[in-house]
Amino acid sequence: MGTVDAGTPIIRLEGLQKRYAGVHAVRGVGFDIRAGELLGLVGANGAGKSTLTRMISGGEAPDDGRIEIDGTPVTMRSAADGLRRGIVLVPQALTVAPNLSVRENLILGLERNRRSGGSDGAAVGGPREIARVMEALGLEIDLEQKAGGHSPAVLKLIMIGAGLLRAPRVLILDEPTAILAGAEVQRLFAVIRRLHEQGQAIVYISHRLPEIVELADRVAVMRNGQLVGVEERGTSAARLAELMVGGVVEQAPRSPDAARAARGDVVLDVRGLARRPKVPATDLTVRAGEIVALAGLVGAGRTSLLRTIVGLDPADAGEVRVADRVVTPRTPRQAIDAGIAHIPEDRARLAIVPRMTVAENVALPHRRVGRRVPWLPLITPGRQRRAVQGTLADLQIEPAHAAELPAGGLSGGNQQKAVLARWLMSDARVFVFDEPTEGIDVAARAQVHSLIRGLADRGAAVLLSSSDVEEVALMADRVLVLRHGRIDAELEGDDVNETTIGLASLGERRDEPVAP
Amino acid sequence: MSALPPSGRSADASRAVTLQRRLGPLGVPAITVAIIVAFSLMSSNFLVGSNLQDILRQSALPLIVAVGLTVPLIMGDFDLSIAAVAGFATTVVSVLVARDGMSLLVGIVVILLAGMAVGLFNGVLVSAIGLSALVVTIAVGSVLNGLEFAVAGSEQISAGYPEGFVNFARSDIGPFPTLFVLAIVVAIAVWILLERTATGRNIRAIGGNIDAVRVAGINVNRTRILGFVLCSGLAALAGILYAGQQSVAYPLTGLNVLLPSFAAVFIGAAAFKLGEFNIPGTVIGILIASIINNGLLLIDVASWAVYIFQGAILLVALLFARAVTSDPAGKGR
Repeated sequence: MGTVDAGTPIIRLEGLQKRYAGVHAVRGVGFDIRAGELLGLVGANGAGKSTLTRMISGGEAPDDGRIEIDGTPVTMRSAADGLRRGIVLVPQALTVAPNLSVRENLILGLERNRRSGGSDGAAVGGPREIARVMEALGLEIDLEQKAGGHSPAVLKLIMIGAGLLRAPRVLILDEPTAILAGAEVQRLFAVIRRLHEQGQAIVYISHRLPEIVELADRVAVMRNGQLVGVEERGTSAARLAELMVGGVVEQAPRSPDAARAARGDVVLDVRGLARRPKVPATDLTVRAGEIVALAGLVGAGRTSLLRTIVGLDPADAGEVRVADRVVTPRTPRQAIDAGIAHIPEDRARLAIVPRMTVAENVALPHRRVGRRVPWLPLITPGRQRRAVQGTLADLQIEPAHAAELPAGGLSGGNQQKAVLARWLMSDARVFVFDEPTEGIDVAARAQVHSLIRGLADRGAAVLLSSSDVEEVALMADRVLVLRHGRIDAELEGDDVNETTIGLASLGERRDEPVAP
Repeated sequence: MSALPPSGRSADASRAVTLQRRLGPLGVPAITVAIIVAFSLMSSNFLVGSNLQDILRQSALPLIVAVGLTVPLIMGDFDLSIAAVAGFATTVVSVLVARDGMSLLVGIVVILLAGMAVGLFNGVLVSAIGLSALVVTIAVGSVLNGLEFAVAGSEQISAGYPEGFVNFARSDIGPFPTLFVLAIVVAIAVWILLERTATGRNIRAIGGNIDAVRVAGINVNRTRILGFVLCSGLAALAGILYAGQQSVAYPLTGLNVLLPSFAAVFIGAAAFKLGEFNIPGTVIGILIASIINNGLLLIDVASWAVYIFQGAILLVALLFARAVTSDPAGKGR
């Protein structure tokens, strides 16, 4: 690194085009990636960011246009070609092999090109290089332990570490914080800042605009496959959002009506619920019309607690009551029958059957939806579609004929709405959301937020877990902060703000301590 | 949307994709026609009414087995015990009914229940306990093979089959063999189960994303066990009917269905619903396998060559299914 003056273009893109069947994913995009800069790349889902980065890193060949590296046009045939030229893409999804050790994951694929020694002369993938990278990432974990046991946040850092070991000229990070929370986000920022100070050129893709505004030297904004602007440092999140959606984003207003929530009866009552070792005895309540958020770092045990409440991981002690009836679900079915709907994290893996139509996905748990004769267990596709159509329209799922399309083809936001539609068709009184807007673009995020608020307004009890402090502050009437599996703090009223939640997640308290 | 003018390469690419989309579903029917044309050129006895009846007759029982096999395969579960279940059913129904004089109806019910019990056993070991379907069903198949000898001894049963049973198995309804009509009825019933009931939706969803189905509150184990029960039950039914059709039984000389069934189901994944196992595809697949078997016999290839062709057909079906379903657009954006 460092032989090229800062500001000189390393990569120059000109008129890049990529079409898939029926989709013009990237339409004539051109900009520079300069030495030493941190270039933000933003755009709504489907704007073409991922396709563009795959072309830059060699994983996908452009249909038309030019990629120049150091002023020379190049043709890359594979991601391996891109790696040889020093372009490293760290993808959004976790691609760590859980059965290999941390060290094996770090050096996976490096064995074959050790010759390209590291900056300080140590062998790439050697102990010194690995130690240097681990220090840069602030990771103190056993290298010989299997990677599978670590939290998503640590796995993400391992992926970035594997990228850094390749001494990249340009490091592309695709949504690195999508699955991180609080302290981990800050830790990743510190890592990125340090790399940036050392002159590492970085392309940083994120939906979280404040992050981008804070970190980036320049921000390239894409919409519908086109570059709609390159903003310089000093831009604002609002400006970026406006460019991304081509208009002004409506942000759902903070729901301040905690008084309304406080009047409702307790609907979800969790008493001493435990599943050891991950979930120690836990008490919590959610009232009708109330949105209670679980905050806390990744690994604080939010998902484990939710999975126990909804019967995915049955409890070994304690009970769950819905409207004073003991239900303590031991399977998801029992939770559903008790009126508890669960919208899980990681949609693609836990909620959507991508090949099946949206109508089938929505109808999935409902045996009676789509029957022609109520007592005959025969369903017809037309009836099934009509049965879900109204709910899909209420949720503004796009396109209008989405019911007949494979769910896997929809954007993240529309998929999430389809999962919500599934439970709106049941008579659930308790809605449990885990990371409801993970990987969803700004516009859809605001829609999902107002849908959740609409549920509460109609008297549902909402329990929402999120690693996004901004989301928690925006949505919650009351916040339960988890640390090491336990509810460590409860925040209400004016304490429901990003700073207090963020501090509480780290075990810090403002003013007088809150009773545990 | 105002798209920029497409470059030559992208136009070619999207034309290729469109071509693949349009022609992919036609591939299997086209291959079928080509095979029929080829055999009718090579043998004047091929495209003859009685021979076509023979083809349907030979297809009937493998079709029943393959339709059953389609169900666990949709869910990603393999069942390699089907041939052993069918053979066991043939031998044991012959012992009970032909040799020992048990009433036909009771014999059939007992064997069907036994077949379904084998499926239940497979299903519990695979889905509830989590053992490998491949290994469990091979092991169960071996046990059943041994039990055939235990029940029948090393003795051929060739007399005592109820006349009505034999006549039924060899009869025709109009130009169609009765067993083929029965097989089509079974295929339609299973198609309705898969495409027109909530249980079928669950079965297909399990094949698409088993974790999501579990989270959605569906009893995944029960559904997978049902798949094994259905598969073994239909294999047992085919085995029973085979006893009537042949009116002779000897251990380990039952219906040869393992390879043809798998070949048919995989050929089927390359027709109709591309990339997914489906019942109409399985029907076409069985017909192709039977046509090829029949044609090879007519043109007098050595009997060992039939095995080579059977294996080759399965491989070609796999390659073809992969070719027509590799969808560049499927990578997303």
